[in-house]
Formats: sequence, C-alpha cells, structure tokens
Amino acid sequence: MKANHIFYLLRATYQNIRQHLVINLISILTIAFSLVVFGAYFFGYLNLQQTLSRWRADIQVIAYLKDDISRRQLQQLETFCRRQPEVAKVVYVSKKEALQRFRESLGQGSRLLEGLEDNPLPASLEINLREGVRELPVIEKLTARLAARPGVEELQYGQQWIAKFYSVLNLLNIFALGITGFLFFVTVFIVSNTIKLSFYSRRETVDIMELVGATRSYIAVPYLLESLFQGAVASLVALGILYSLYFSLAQWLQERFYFLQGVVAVRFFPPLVLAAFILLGVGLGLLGFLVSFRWLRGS
Amino acid sequence: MIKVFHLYKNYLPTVMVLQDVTFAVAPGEFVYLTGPSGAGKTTLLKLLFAAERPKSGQILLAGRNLTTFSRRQIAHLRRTIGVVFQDFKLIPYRTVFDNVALVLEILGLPRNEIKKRVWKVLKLVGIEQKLYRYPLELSGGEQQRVAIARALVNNPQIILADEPTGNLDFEITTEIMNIFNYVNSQGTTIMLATHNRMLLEKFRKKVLTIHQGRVEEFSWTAAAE
Ligand SMILES: Nc1ncnc2c1ncn2[C@@H]1O[C@H](COP(=O)(O)OP(=O)(O)O)[C@@H](O)[C@H]1O
Ligand SMILES: [Mg+2]
Repeated sequence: MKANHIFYLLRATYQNIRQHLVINLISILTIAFSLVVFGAYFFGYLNLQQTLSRWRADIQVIAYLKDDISRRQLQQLETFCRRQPEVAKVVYVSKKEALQRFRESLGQGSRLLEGLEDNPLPASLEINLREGVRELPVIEKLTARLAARPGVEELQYGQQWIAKFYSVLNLLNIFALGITGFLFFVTVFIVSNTIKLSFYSRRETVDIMELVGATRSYIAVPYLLESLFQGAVASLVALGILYSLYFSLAQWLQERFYFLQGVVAVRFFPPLVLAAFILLGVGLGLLGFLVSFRWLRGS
Repeated sequence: MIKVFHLYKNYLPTVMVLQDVTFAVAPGEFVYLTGPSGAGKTTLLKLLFAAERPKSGQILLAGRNLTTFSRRQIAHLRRTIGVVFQDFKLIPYRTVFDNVALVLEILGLPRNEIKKRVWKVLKLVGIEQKLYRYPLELSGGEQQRVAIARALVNNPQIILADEPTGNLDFEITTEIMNIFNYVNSQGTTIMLATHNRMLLEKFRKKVLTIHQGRVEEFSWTAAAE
C-alpha cells in the first residue's frame, strides 16, 4: 500500500457513490428506516426509564395534619419523624405554603382560585426516605407507626404501582433486551441484503479488477468505505427524523398536557447516546459490508 | 515464455475439457490458438492467466510455475500479463482514461506518470481523442482498442487474447491485428484464440490447434487446411 493508493481508493469510492446514487440512496434509506424504528423504540424506553427513576426519587410519605393540631403536637410529631431510621428529611408545609404551591402548579389556571375565601388545603409534613428503603413493605411499616400519632389526619405515599416500579423496571429491561436483539437482526439482515444487491450490480466491475491484477483487499476498500459512508449518513438522517418526531411530540405534550410538566418530561438523546447512535449506524454499514463481501468472495 | 506440460482440466467431475495438453511458446512469438467452438480455447487461456486451476499438469510463465501460486501471487502475475476479451470487459461507469489508468493505479504509480503512460498507449491504439468518453459511447472497434490499451499499458511480456475480433467487422479486425502485430514486433509474446479462418489466412502465424481438449497440431501450416 503506497500513499498514491489512498488517493486512488478515495477517488474510486467517490466515483462508485456518484455512479450508483440510486442504490446508495436506497441503502441509506433502508439503514435509516431501521435506525428510526430502533431509535424510536429506544427513545421511548429511555424516557420511560428516566421518568420512572425520577418518580422513584420523588417517593415520599406525606402526613396531612389536622387543622386543629397544636404547636406542641406538631413539634413532637416532627421530632418523632426525624428519629425514625428510614427517614432522611422532614419538611413542614403550612396551609399557606400549600395553597401557594397549588397556585403555582396551576399556572394560568390559578385564576380559578381567586374567589376562594377559606383555605381548604391542610398543612403537612413531607417525609423523604433514605436511599434503599423506598420499598413498599418499609413504607407500610413506617406509615403504620405514624398513623398512630396524634394530629395526623391522613397519610399518603403515592399509588402502590409506583412502589412496584422495581418489578416494572426489571420487566422493561428484559423486554428491551429482547426487542433490541430482534430489531438488530432484522436490521442487519435488511442492510446486508441491500448491500448484496448493490454488489450484485457491480459483480462485473469486481471481476474486471481482479483480471487486471487487483488484490481482493484492494478491491474491497472502496466498498468498505462506501458502506461506512452509508451507515454514517443513514444515522444522521435517522437522527434528523427522530429529532423532528421528538420535537413534535414535546410540543404536543406541552400544548395538551402542560399540567403534567413536572411529572412527565420527554428528553432527546444525551450526547453519549447520540455518539453511540452514529457509531451504530456505521457499525451496521460495516456489518452489512462484511456479510455481503464474504458472500461475494464465496461465489 | 509459455510452457505447458500435460495439462488436464475439468469443470464437471466426469467431463475432461482439456486432456494432456503440452506445448511451448518462445519469447517474442505470435501464436494463434484455434479449434472449433467448444474445443477448449477459452479454458486454456483462463488457465494461463489463472482464472481457473488445472486438475493436473504444469504451467510455466516466464519461468515461474503458476500452478503453485497463491491468490496474492496470481494478482501480481496478472499485472505482467495483458488479457483481451471478445466482450472487452471495460468498466462502463469509468471513462476511457480511467479504465486504462486502473492498471497503473493498482501498481500505485504517481498520477503524473499514469497520465503520461495512458496517453501514450491510447495514442498507440489510435483512440487518444476519446480520452474522457465512456465505453458505451464508443463503437465495438473503439472499445476493443481501449481494452487493448489497458492490456498494453504496463508493458506486459505476454498478451493473451480470446477472440478479440469476434464481434468486429473485417476492416476493424485488420486494424486491431495491425496493433497486435506492432506490439509483437516490439518483442511481446502473443497468444490469440480465434476460429476465424480468414484471419489465419490473412495474417499467417504459428497455429496451435486443439480439438475436443487435445492438441491436434502445432505448426505453420494451418492456413493450408
Ligand atoms: N464454467 C464451466 N462449467 C462447465 N463447463 C464449462 C465451463 N466453461 C466451459 N465449459 C465447457 O468446456 C468446454 C470448452 O469450453 P471453452 O473453453 O469455452 O471452448 P472454446 O473457447 O474453445 O469455445 C465446452 O464443452 C464448455 O461447455
Ligand atoms: Mg471461447
């Protein structure tokens, strides 16, 4: 391999792509389509997982207090809470603060509250739990102890299914693995067939190059570069499509479900995932190349 | 230059396409390879540039035993042999220049030298005005000139041509033969397969005749047949 070769091989790659624009376009779109399907699925998975773990961090026990609780009772209750081994933090939210928060959470809708004379919201203690004890049995034991204390009106610790997210998450992970494997094989199959198709049309060129004394690896290089190029372009196209899908989804959520803002937040891929995604595209190109070139050599 | 000993070749297990073929071509000779269609001419040439492997027997090109060559050695061998086909075998989406330059690109020569040498050889075969045309824009005779230029561009010691004028009319055949004759006069060994009797009569050479895979005759007397 000489320095001149690099130039000739790059030029051959460029010529190949230019001369087979349609086939390249088909390959790129095929890879991009697979990547979009895979990416959309992964996007959903990632966001669901993120939302679940955010909810998990939010799990807290809220003790709503009776309106007639005395100062001493309140102090005793707070101290009692702090002493419990499961408890990380206790925050007192007064009736006034509760109303204020409610106003904020309503945003524009807060005008509805203007005619309100009495404050209907109770004061509360927000009890955050230590890492590792945010599980249903632990929470149930704690709330049983708290319920017996004077001044406590009601205890709330989120719906049970939030506490069950461990099993949900596990199920999700197994499911994700299965789907990922399946999508991967389908994608590789489609991609290698597309590339096979494009090689088929160039079979003659490959034969001619062999006849004039090109080695197999020399012949392979432009096809390899072309496949990598296709993979890279396809992953960029796929990211473009995914981003516009994400953008419309985020906008739709914002318009229709603005009140869910703190609860459900969709996010696009973080930089690391973006890089991995492009790498995946290039890898698909490479894999398609390997499968089809082996096929070409064999026959 | 070309020495073949007891060569056997079959494609199917039971049908021997070449049987006990033995002959020698001296450096600088111009030899016709002839025989009826299906006699095994193409097969013999394919064995000579290692597109096929023999069942048994030996092939020596310029003193080197080709039957033991690795794939890589075969690639290198082909850079020293020029091969011309009836159907030209040009890459349709490369220009005339690029088709011929391909051979020298594989050798890794600098661009400037490639330009010089390609131009020179295209001039030799008389097609230098069509440098940037594509093969399918050319006539059959012109395409064959390009193919010959590609075969010549690396100054091969041996040229193997399989019915190079099979698709061309007589006038163009004569022009193509003049090119081969010129190249031969410069010292290149040529083996040219044909079953065109007119050709054998007009340009008299030594003739290797094969029939049903066996050497029938190897002499100067073919034209008298
Ligand atoms: N790839 C192949 N597979 C099987 N048989 C073949 C193949 N190539 C050639 N043959 C057979 O070998 C014989 C010689 O063919 P060929 O060398 O092409 O003859 P020629 O060039 O003299 O016309 C023919 O009978 C042909 O059918
Ligand atoms: Mg033939």
